[in-house]
Amino acid sequence: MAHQSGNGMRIAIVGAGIMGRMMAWQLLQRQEAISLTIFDKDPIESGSAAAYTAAGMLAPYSELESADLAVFHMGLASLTRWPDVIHTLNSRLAKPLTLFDRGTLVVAHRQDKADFQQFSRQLIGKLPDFVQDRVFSHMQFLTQPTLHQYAPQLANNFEGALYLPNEAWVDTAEVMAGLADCLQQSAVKWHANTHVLRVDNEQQSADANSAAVFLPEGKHVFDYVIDCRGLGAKQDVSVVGQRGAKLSYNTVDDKTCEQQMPKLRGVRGEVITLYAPEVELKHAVRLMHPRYKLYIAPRHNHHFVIGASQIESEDTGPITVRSTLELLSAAYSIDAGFGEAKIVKTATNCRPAYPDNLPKVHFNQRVMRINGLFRHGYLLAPMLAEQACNRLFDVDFKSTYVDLIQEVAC
Amino acid sequence: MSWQLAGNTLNSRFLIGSSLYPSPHIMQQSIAASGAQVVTVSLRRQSPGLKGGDSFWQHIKSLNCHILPNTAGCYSAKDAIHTAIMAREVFNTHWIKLEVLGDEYNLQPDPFALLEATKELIAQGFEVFPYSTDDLVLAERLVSAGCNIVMPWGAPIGTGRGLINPYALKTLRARLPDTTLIVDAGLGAPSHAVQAMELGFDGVLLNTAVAEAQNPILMAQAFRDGIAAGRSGFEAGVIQQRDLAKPSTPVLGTPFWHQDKDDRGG
Repeated sequence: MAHQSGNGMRIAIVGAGIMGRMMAWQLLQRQEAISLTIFDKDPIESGSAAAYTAAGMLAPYSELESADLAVFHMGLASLTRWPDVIHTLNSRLAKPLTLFDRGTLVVAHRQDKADFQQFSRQLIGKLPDFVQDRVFSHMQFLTQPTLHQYAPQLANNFEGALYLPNEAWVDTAEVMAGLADCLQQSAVKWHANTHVLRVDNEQQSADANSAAVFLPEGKHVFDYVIDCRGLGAKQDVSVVGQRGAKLSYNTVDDKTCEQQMPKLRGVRGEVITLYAPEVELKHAVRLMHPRYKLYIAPRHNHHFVIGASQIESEDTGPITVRSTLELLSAAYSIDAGFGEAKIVKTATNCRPAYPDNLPKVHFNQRVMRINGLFRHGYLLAPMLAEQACNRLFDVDFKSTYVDLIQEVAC
Repeated sequence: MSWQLAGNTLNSRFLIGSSLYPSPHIMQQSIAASGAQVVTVSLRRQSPGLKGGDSFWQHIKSLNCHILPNTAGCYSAKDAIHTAIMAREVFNTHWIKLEVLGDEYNLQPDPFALLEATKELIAQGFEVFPYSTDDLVLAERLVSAGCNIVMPWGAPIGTGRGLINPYALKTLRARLPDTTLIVDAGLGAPSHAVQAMELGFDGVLLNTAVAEAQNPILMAQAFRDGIAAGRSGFEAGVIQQRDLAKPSTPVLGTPFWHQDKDDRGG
């Protein structure tokens, strides 16, 4: 059992994006004796977190085309946790959150049939055996008449679709606000608008028993610090990596250490929110195209999020004309009802990613760093938080996601 | 067997792209597996003015290959020239893979704007690697403009169709014997690369066929081997096809009762 003092274990979470908030919420759900403090550079209600820009897709199948199998496995497990997350949050909230769980329709225009086939082939090829056995419950090819029953407007433009019934999505602004509400009800100390310089163990030795959050005006000491800052941690993670490369260890050599603490990078994404009273889509839609993969995530009251570009750039400047043209022409080609839609908002942000585009939990003495969620923040946050909590409360816990959760001796 | 590309001695005839991989990590492993010594990099959409792609470019720079920046995504000579100038600054090289596209959908080169941009960039001291169609007259004009290298397509970018017009490619090879010719774009299978190399092309440039394969690292090796095999085949001299089978063992003097089973040469 971990070290305790005062009002139980003192834990700080740095960064209040989806990972930080989900982690805080799950820690409280464990009902362990803890006192929880959150540090975040933004206000509670808004900010620059990638979590606000994300469309909130919970789509492990669709993502499997380009993502690693590890993301798929964790994503499937996470998908089963989301109903419970929403349920427990809703029991505390005046305005309930919605889990949109109608699945995804994957479509392609006739001239892009090859991309649709490539997507289906990649998906079927990568699906693990336990899915292959009951493949119909995971993916269904819809003919035009069947598609008409699901989404009549789509059937006018597409000859068929691939239906992924288990996929879901959430309204990201709603979830961020709901989590903040519930956390504040639980007497969490929330230092908003607070710039954190770095987090580190108090002692650089194997028997470190506290960790610190360094602010410009001084440091705050805790039993554990969980760093969920995303790209905000870029500087810190690089520092750890550099230091790690210079020391020697009993369990890992320098090279392994460097690999465990690789550099974070930002991957630019752009999304557009539309208000389209003429569009009746109830499912998430993913459009295959030779050069970009686009999705439409319906929100309440005829609002739709169209996303997202993926550009290897750390520029967070406004959306470009080219991306706007691509996203909007794709939306219009799916449903002409988008023609008269109002553009409510455009947003740009950078997804935090490691070189293998996989998330990592690094646990080093009293500091835990959860980062690199890339395109999969909402999808993976519940499972990453669950695994991180398990490890925090049980030193002997061994995660089944061995590639993603690492003890670091540096 | 080494060869010369723009004044550099290279061992590999494989030029590889850096887009579309599942992750930078897989990209690095694939490029290492390909044995390629030249890597193309796009920068047009990465806010080069702000060095937006720096973190990603670090992964490419760490491979210690020659970097061939490209002007992918440019639709006018002006855009392409502007991008080339930024590329020179970002990557500290005067090499530029010049792409000026004329069609949004199949990313077909615009031959007129390509020639215009080529002339300007050569005047500014660039080593231009123009991505062109397989049109002979265009290739000749590019050479007259000062290109040492021409890169005709096998097929439109990303289609994976292979060499859709081998006749045109053979013509280019025959008519431009002193120009470095590299087949760029449209290849899908390693056999397409073998075919291009057997025609006597100096190299092959591709991206999608590797990056979007189910196993990009293995596909990079397959193309590496295909390109080497095709080149060896070209250098070794492929035999002339004949209408009639010619046994390698003379029939005369062969015991006729064995001939059916054992002695039919190929």
